[in-house]
Amino acid sequence: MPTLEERLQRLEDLAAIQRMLREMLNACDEPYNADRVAAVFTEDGVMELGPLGRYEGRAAIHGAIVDVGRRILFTRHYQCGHLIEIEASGVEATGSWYGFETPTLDGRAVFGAFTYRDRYRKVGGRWLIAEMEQTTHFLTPYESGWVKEPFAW
Amino acid sequence: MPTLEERLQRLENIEEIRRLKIIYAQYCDNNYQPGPLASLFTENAVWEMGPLGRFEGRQAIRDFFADVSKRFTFALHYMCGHVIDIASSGTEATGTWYIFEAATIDGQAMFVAATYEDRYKKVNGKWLFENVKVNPAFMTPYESGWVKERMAG
Repeated sequence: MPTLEERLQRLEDLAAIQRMLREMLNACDEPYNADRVAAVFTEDGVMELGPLGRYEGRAAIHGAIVDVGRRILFTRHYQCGHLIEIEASGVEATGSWYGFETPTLDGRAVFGAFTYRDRYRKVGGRWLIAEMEQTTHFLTPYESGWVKEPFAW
Repeated sequence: MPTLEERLQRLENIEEIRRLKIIYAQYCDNNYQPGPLASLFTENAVWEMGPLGRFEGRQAIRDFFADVSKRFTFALHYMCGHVIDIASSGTEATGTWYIFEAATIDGQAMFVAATYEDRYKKVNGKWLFENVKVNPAFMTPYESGWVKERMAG
């Protein structure tokens, strides 16, 4: 039977992870503050973006964010449906969430719809992202829609 | 004056109901899996949405979801804005939600905006849907928008 303390700790961890994700997305909306985004990943963190590339380690992630920031000069990240499981260790967790974005990509207005599967790790009392795996459902020009043009990158 | 235990239990119940709704969204977005979706409902649950109909009982709800996937070949349910109230019994609750959905319906890209009015029941320690009522705000073809064509098919 978990103690009151353990139950409260779990709720605090869930809230901390949700907040950490939101702060990372805020940094993406600056747009793409690479220092702030990369800092949310563990040193050995992995950002897996499927057709948009795979980046291993904080330095590679930082570089990827700098590159994206050259092509996307404006965006807004909306996130919801953040499901999180804290593991028995209390310092590891998994999560999934939904993302919707409104980037200006290479000068074009685009809608982006994504889902994510993450692993988190608590390092020095702070929750960080150990792995973020993005599935792109569509990245479609505003004028087209996802049936006519599902993926424009 | 509620005890620490009661206060914690209330937050845990809200979190469990939030998780239930997200899991529902995930099953819908994975081709409306009828078995898993039906398992989220009580035996005598009701699911209703104006134009799509009213379905009573787990079997009818299961059959409905099996049919839906023929028309909705792609969907992303963005669930947010929840307001959840746990009844003093601790085993009943109500909730309202906002949903924004991108879907491909009968081959056409559509945006769906709706709100939910839910009733939940805790059965053997697990929260389930007792009643789900969907109030659509618009279901519009991508090319039209909700002013030109508010409620399509």
